[in-house]
Amino acid sequence: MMIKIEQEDNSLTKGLHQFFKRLLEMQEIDALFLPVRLKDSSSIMPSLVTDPAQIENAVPLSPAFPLNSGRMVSRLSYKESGRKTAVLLRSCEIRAFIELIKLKQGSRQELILIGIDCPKALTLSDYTAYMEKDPLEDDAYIQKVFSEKNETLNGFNFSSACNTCENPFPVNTDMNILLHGVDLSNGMMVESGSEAGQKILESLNMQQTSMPEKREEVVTQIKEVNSKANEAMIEDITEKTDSISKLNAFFDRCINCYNCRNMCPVCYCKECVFNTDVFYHQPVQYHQWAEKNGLVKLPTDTVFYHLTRLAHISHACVGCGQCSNACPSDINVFEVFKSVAQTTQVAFEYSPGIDENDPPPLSVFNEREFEDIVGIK
Amino acid sequence: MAIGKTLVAGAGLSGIRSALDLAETGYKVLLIDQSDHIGGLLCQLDNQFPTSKCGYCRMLPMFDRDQSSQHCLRKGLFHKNIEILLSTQLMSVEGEPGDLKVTLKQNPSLIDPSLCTGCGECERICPVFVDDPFNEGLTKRKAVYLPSPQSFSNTYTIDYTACTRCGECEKICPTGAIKFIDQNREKFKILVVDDEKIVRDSMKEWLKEEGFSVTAADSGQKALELMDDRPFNMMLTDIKMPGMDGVELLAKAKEKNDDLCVIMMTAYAAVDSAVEAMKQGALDYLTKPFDPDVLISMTLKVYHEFEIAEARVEQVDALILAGGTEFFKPNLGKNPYGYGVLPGVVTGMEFERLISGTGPGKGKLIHPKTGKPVRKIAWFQCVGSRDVQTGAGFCSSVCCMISIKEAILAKEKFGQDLETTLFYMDMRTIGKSFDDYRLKAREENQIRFVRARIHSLDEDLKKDDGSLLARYVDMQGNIHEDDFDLVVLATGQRPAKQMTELALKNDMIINPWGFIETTPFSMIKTSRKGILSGGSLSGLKDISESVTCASAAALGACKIMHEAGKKTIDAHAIDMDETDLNGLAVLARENPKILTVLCSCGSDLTQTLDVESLKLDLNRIPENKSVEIMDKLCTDEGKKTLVDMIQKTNPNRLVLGACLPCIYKQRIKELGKESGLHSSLVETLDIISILKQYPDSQIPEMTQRIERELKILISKARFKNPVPKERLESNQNALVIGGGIAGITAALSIADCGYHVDLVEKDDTIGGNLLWMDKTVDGLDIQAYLDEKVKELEFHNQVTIHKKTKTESTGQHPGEFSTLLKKEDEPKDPGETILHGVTILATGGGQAPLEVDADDPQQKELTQKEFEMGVQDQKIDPEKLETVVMIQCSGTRDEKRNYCSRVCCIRALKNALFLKEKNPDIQVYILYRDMMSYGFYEQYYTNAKNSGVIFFQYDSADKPLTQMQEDKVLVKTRDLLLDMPVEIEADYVIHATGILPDLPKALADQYGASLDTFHFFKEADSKFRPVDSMNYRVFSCGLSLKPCTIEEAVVTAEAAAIRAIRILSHERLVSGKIVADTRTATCSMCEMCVDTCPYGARFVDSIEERIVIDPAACQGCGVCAAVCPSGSAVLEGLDMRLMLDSIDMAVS
Repeated sequence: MMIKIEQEDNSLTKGLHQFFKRLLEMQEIDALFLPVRLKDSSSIMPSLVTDPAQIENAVPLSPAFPLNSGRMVSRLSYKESGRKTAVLLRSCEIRAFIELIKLKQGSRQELILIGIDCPKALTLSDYTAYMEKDPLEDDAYIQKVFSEKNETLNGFNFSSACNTCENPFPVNTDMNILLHGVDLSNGMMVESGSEAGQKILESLNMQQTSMPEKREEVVTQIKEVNSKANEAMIEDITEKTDSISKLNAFFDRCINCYNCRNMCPVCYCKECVFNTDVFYHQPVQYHQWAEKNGLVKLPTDTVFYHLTRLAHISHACVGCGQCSNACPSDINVFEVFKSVAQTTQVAFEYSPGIDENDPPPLSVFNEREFEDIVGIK
Repeated sequence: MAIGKTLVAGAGLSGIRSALDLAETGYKVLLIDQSDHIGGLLCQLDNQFPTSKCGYCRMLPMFDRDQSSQHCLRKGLFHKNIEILLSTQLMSVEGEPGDLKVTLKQNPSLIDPSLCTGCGECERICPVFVDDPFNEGLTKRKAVYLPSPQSFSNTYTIDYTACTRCGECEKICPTGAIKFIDQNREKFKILVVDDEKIVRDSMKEWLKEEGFSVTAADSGQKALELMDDRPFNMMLTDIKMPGMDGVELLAKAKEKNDDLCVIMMTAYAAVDSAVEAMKQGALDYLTKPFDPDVLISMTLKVYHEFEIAEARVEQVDALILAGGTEFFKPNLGKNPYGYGVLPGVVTGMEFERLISGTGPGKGKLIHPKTGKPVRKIAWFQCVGSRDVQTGAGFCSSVCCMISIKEAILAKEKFGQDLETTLFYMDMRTIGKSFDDYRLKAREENQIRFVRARIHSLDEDLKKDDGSLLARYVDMQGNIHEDDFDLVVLATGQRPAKQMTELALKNDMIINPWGFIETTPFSMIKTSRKGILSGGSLSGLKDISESVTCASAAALGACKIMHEAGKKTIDAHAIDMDETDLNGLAVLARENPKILTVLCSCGSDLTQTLDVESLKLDLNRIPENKSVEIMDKLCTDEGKKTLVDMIQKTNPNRLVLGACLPCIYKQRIKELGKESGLHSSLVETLDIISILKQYPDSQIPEMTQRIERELKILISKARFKNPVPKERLESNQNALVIGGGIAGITAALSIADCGYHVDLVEKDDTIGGNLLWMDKTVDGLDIQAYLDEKVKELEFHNQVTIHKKTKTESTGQHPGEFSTLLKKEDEPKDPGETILHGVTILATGGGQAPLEVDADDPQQKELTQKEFEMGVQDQKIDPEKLETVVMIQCSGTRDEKRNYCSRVCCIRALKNALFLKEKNPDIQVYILYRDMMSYGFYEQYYTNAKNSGVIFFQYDSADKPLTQMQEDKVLVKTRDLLLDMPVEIEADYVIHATGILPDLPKALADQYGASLDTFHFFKEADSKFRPVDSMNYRVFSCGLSLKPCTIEEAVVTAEAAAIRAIRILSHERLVSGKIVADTRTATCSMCEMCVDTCPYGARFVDSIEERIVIDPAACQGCGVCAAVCPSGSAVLEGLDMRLMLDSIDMAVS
């Protein structure tokens, strides 16, 4: 089912506010989780909203992407709350959340997942700079991203994660808000993706509509462009890291702050093994390492840390780019992860975040796989 | 109350299975074998179908596994409850079940296993070559040899019959492990009688030198006087003496002592009288003048007999005979295929050795005679089976599958271009996955199957390259000739001679072919109470059947011991030193203090190692307090030096580099006890093997190598903490689901051993398929048997029967299941929850429905069941019938259900014989693909043919068609012999539709079991764990497990019962040393470990919100630790720091 969201006061944002308000006023929905501009501030942060009056501060579409909200939704849903929440997420956030569901870190039971055509994002540092100069109004931003196809935003490049994203259109949600290929002057559209979603849309009694003809073409085009960018990026990063020495050099500024891990939406451990005494080496150990080569750089275990993370989560990496955002040393963590993730995911024929019933590769045992690698016939 | 004890005679596959089942239950076992190694036939076979791999080790204990060895069973076996005696024979049995007296005879060992390092010097020097039985005589070995190439203990053995006692090995042995002269020789008293002093004196001298007690007498009279004075074991007497001559002395001496062994001495001219003396009881004679070596050798042989004659008598409760079978020797009798005459004709066993990596070709397939590579091989089936001429009116059951496996193996190992042809009569693929395997052989491996019996095999004279020319007639009567490089004879089974003799001596019934006969409906009970037959003794069985039978025999023994009031050993009460929790906790807090000791093994280590630099480097590791070099730690003296050093320097960890026997687990335990050091904190390295492996290594290189290995161990030692073994409270009740004969037997078996059983049946009658059956093909009365069993069950105070009841699993916790029992037709029934420690799925199965297209209002096309019931209800009168057609494999063994149901051919034969008996004029046709009358059922096939039943073979691609014609059924098929269509008008057509299992997937899932592709229960290992599921507390038997006859259902049920009792007999189960745990504080509860654990050892405790572990189920495989990203799933004893540090040491 497909319904239409009209502009309100000539504003798309206000039209969306109206839609969200109606959702929140429904008996079945107790709360709404979406990006909100905080009071007396220019910061936009994901927030859990229960008061319909607060909806007018929501900024559903902006270049702000302070964190991947998938892990926030996991906090809202890993146990029953007795309340139904509708959550508005970008595609990479949804995919991360689906991965977390597989890892029993969240549940869809009390959620209505609302996807939205991705409005792209700036890197965190660029976003701060952009906001300081002369940021666009919310509506102007929407128009720019969804109709004008501008590659840059006031001179800032969109994050490379967004430019190389092959899945900017959410799937397997309860409903999706569509903007690409839609005549925005005429409003936006919401398509139901599940029975629960359809029921809600039906009960809203809003004007029904059908899929605009142009949409498929636009969607394909965006995917193609991003896919090409992705290939180019992977080629480039592979060239930069295709030997142990190059890899060492790539990560040589790493200071083991673990920010990338903390911001990674699929790094779900309550306590990371790198925080445990496994890596709390004996003092003599450092000396032994130094004695072996004449010196040892501290902190140690930096590349090992990244390799471990790749081993643990590259199959589940959704390519949101938050790891690079978080790096104080400006290491392009994301690009390495995305390129390795692609190989892992192809090898295991695994698409993270698409189907919650598709088990993670590590939990499946196949008697015969990678026989050439493991050397067992 | 005494602990129960069972003697298991035969330490092959089945003997080991019986012994382990009983040992795990907590009984004592004496396991003997007449050969010099354990493992039996399987030691010679490297690969089994269907995996072309092995799985022998899967028989090892799963819980409390540190009480047993944990390596390949070909390498040896150790279990705390099993005493193993090799080179030992069972001589006799007396007494009643629960009180048997068994007499054993053991070959003494001349090599001290605790001293032998397996260095091989003795073998090198030994001058005697004999055929190596391990390689089926295809290679030679010395008289001193390693019993099997895989053997872990590496201890040499002397072949007494071949050894000349030259003593060279004794001289060269570096550790003094070989002792030809031993103290016992003094006890061996020899009397030398000769009138010539010089002879007396020199003989006395020679024999005394060998360590014997020798007395001399100058006349017969004197000799007899001496014999009155004290007993002698052996007398050497001259024949020609003044006064009483040797022959007279022999007679008189024998009167005094019949056991006296007498050897005559005579001049060459008087050999006749010596021969005469032998008729009167002399053992042998020596011709004067004789070589002292001949005298000594002869004396030693007599002495050897004397030594083993010191029989050991044991008191046991039960006896399991697991002596296996022997194989037909094709050169006895007519030998139509020229075995032993033509080059390139080998038996199946010989072929297995030919292709083995440890065989004569060392992994290459070469012609045993010409040495040329082999490219074309043929297998001839039924050599000495299904052949009345060789006295084998039976099928050997396993040869078809063995030959297919050998052909596949040959192709896998030596190239798919190898040409392989199997000549057979019926391809008896009688197991669940066997037909699939044959298909794979034919389609994927391109193995050629030819249904023909070879009538002659000769050397191909035209070729002159050793090729063999086989002539045979195909199905259509055309004569073919084919050349082969190698011909493998699939030789049939023969009873094990020694076991047959034993059976006859002990009044046990044997069948017409000499195999031990078991009682009706039982595959394990012999005619003598207290004696059970395990494995192949009662007829050749494949691995899974042998294992099943062996487990069932263990159950029989278990019942005997329980009824005799014998106890089991309390599993958790032992080994308290390892469970001293406080002591362990203190140890874990202490800083590691490591002592590293290297044994120089009688040599100078500085010749091969830079000991000083090694010490220097190792001492740089702070925890390593010192490095010491010691000598001969394997000797008592050496061990004492080490114990003293430990007590002096008081380390809390020890790294020990020595030779293999020295670091043997049991010795380390002893060392731990004597020195006070916890044995799990001793890390060992076989440095001698490393030194030997690189004989050309320079000192710096070797030092580096050894140093690296030692550093790894030091790092292990410093991070290793002793872990107390977990104890798990385990529920001691059983749940059996299904009240057919399998369920009944399983329930009764468990209850008879003293444990409570809940038996659940969905119908309102107990009995299952047996309810509609009348008689077996052997003529046994099935209803009488069933009545007896049901009565037993109903009156058993340990059994609660729940009829018309369904089960619903309500969860499994470590050590316990809970199941809700609800009445089938009472929806309001709140049900009753029972708690149980094991679950046996005996849900059965039934005959598949008939799939006939044509409408059949007169019911002329019937299934076997419908026909038999029709006869029982007198709706079908055999006397009024003219023609009956039976169609085998109707709707089965095809794409839909590609497995053989095993029972239908036998049932068809039974019905055909029944019809012929009731009405000799009746025409009975059996249309078949392969007659599966395996084992001794072959006799009924022969009987049917003899009584005029007509057999038509049909092709699976061209199945028989039926069509109603008035009140008859017209059957159209094709006669493959005449290659012509055939039409038969039948009164009835009886279809063999095969068996369908009835084990719902949901039910299996609830208990952590799974189903195979045909919806039967999936075994943990189809060969080595044939009734177990991957969940160690869940078992299956009867038709839900596999198609089977009644006695086979019974034997699987008995096997499932003992597998369950192994667990039920313990109030608490002990885990292995390496066991998984969860660090709850860091655990994210993602449950990846639960999903991936192959043993179902991990559970979510939803109340406590944590992951819990069944430590007894955990096998320490570490999959959980591998999938857990946060390191919260851990293996106790193998912590991550230890692993990382060891790797670091290895690469530094």
